Amino acid sequence: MLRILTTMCILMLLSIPAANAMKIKDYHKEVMTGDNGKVECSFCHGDAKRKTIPQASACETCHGTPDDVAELTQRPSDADHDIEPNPHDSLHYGTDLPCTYCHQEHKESQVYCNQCHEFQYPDMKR
Amino acid sequence: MNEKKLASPERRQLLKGGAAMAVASLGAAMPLSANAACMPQEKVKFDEIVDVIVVGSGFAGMSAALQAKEAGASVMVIDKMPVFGGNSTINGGAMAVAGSPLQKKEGIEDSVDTMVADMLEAGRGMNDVEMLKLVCNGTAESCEWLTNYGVQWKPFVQHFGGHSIPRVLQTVQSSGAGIIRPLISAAKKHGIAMRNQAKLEGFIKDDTGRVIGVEVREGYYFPKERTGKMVNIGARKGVIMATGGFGRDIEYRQMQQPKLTSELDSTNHAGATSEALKQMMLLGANPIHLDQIQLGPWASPDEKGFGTASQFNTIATYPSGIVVDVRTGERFFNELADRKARADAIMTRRDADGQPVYPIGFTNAEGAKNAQTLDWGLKYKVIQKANNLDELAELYGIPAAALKAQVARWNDAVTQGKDNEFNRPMQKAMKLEQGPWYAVRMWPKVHYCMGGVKVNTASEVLHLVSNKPIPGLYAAGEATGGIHGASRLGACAVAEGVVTGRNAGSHCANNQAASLHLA
Ligand SMILES: Cc1cc2nc3c(=O)[nH]c(=O)nc-3n(C[C@H](O)[C@H](O)[C@H](O)COP(=O)(O)OP(=O)(O)OC[C@H]3O[C@@H](n4cnc5c(N)ncnc54)[C@H](O)[C@@H]3O)c2cc1C
Ligand code: HEC
Ligand code: HEC
Ligand code: HEC
Ligand code: HEC
Repeated sequence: MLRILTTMCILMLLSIPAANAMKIKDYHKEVMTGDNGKVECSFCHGDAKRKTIPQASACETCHGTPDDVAELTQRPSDADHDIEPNPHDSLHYGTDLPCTYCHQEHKESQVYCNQCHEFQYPDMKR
Repeated sequence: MNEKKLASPERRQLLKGGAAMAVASLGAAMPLSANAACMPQEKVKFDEIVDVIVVGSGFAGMSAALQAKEAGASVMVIDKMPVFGGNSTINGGAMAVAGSPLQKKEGIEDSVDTMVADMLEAGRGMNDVEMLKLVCNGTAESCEWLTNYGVQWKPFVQHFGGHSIPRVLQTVQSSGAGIIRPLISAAKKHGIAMRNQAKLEGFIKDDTGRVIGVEVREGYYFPKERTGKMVNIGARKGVIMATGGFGRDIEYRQMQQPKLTSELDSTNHAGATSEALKQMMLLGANPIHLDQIQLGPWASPDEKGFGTASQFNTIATYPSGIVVDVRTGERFFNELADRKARADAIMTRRDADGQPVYPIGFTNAEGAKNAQTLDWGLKYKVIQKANNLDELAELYGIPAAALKAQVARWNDAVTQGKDNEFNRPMQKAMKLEQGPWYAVRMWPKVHYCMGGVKVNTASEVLHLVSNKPIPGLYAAGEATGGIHGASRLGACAVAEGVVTGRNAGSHCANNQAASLHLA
């Protein structure tokens, strides 16, 4: 009996539409929520039924080109080692790295550079 | 100059001796055994077709792509990572060049033969001499070629360990990014298709066994294997494999060298894995020297990867300081021996349970004055500062009296100009008299794969059974094996990547075109 109940619970959980199950970032809640109070997944995922990891172009419609983003976080030209380098325009990769390798939407964000570095970035909203 | 060449494709420029090899290799189409994991041509629908596909976007791949473009081919570069440049764009930007203008300016006599001799000695005679000569012979011209694409070099030559004379140039950024970024800009400017997140998963052959394309996972999100979708891309003239080494592939490197367990970190980027090499082997490519894997003896266990310690130790501790066993305060090896000898020595430091006991390398402010990563290393506490030797001993738990005695013995050796204990060359040795001291804990990391597929001087990949070229398949850079023998000299991988990449690019672009059809 107990087992049947648990199974039913799991089934119910599974049947909840993904739209409600995916948490999104606080900073995106306002802009992504439609008049019906539901998150508009399509802003990032397009209309495809099966959701895949969005291309950087999905973010660019609102945030501008990678160059625009890089400008937001430009460092003073005489910055020393007390200031972490610009994550959006690096020595190795320029502005090539797609946004989603750092800014995750449904889980905690990370910093791609930190596979190899120990940069802090206290201002990054994770 | 390069710009002009790109504008007029008929002005093809081959490396010395290359033209003859290219012609000779055209007739070599030979049938292959049918069991490689490839699709026969009739069933293939190509989603896109170009003349030359380059797999990998490091020194070898970008050089190959631009050289093929200069020869008039249409070119696509694919890389599985979200970014271009592999190990090349995180590297130290140091390139060994035999006969550079800077050497001449400083009155340093060098020759291709001298560089070959140095690399043979480090390689313990295991090197593929034909390829080694091709690389050394191409360095001076390739360095100029890079300069013409906008690479900027520091205005002096450096003397790296194992080289008999100063011949190392370094980009002003102290990074391979100083080479990769200009090459990527040039590629984009000249219409080379640059595709990131595009992973090679297999080859496509025609009935005669010639490689005519690749199966690519587009939109690949490293390292998630099922992401993206598969497409077939055709290559009329050939596929150039510039896929680098497999230093981060713990499973595969351990098959070659069981001691290289997960205990050892690697300096490489996360994409340095073996799947592309394995696909070449399925086609019949001859793998050689796969168990020759170089460890970097200058790394620290207190940070990830190459980090800040590697440059600090290369520039400061090794030439101008000493390395001691933390338990005894005493030196235990020649700090200027080649990479293999140093790494082997450090890894003998273990406790009764076989666990590493990290040695301490140190120098003083004078010795560290040129170390660019010092500030970053201090910030992350990988490099630590002590005002005097007592403080240094305290910091790491070294017996203080023994440490001071060792430093005194070292200073005597410098005065005498002779290291009786470990026979270190003392020409540039420096007395260690004044604090403050800068120190790091040390343990080697997997750095470079000397092994890879065997190629001929036209950069064609050779078949395991026939020892003849596999038609349509070329390889360059760290993906190839044999050039460095048992141990690569520092700064010789940039040289290898650029020279062999360009060689592959020009030969592939001059290959006979197969006629392929879009879906
Ligand atoms: C930290 C560090 C510092 C170094 N410093 C120096 C130095 O100062 N001087 C020197 O001479 N050497 C140095 N080396 C060694 C040198 O950088 C490398 O040997 C060299 O970069 C290799 O170039 P490559 O083009 O062959 O391969 P890479 O630059 O590694 O490029 C290979 C590319 O192929 C891609 N790839 C692999 N498999 C696939 C696949 N299946 N599908 C699609 N793409 C694929 C990878 O993602 C990668 O981008 C250093 C190495 C490291 C790691
Ligand atoms: C529909 C438009 C839209 C799209 C699409 C979009 N964003 Fe945003 N994003 C916003 C708005 C609006 C804000 C809030 C800005 C503010 O608070 O000033 C924001 C905030 C952010 C922030 C926080 C910035 C801060 O202040 O620290 C990040 C990071 C971010 N977005 C990344 C992304 C990424 C990555 C993508 C693609 C996966 C993306 N965004 C797609 C509109 C969008
Ligand atoms: C290498 C990791 C990385 C990548 C890739 C990346 N970001 Fe960021 N982003 C950060 C970090 C770290 C910060 C915090 C900024 C700081 O410290 O100045 C940030 C901040 C931001 C901000 C807030 C900037 C501000 O100060 O107003 C926005 C908006 C943003 N990112 C959007 C993007 C978009 C869009 C992309 C893709 C085009 C992108 N990021 C790619 C790491 C990254
Ligand atoms: C602001 C942009 C954004 C919005 C809005 C958004 N997502 Fe996502 N989604 C992402 C990003 C970025 C990823 C990549 C993984 C991550 O960041 O968590 C992702 C990943 C996913 C994945 C996993 C895909 C895979 O192949 O791994 C699913 C499923 C998904 N989202 C569903 C949704 C649903 C359902 C909604 C609407 C409720 C939604 N997303 C709204 C940006 C967004
Ligand atoms: C795959 C490893 C790897 C990744 C990923 C990586 N780096 Fe690096 N980076 C290195 C290595 C190795 C060096 C050279 C050694 C050093 O200076 O720490 C370096 C050096 C640097 C330097 C120069 C430091 C100095 O000494 O002045 C900067 C700045 C830098 N990286 C920024 C970044 C940024 C920003 C990112 C992310 C967008 C990033 N790196 C990602 C490996 C990496």
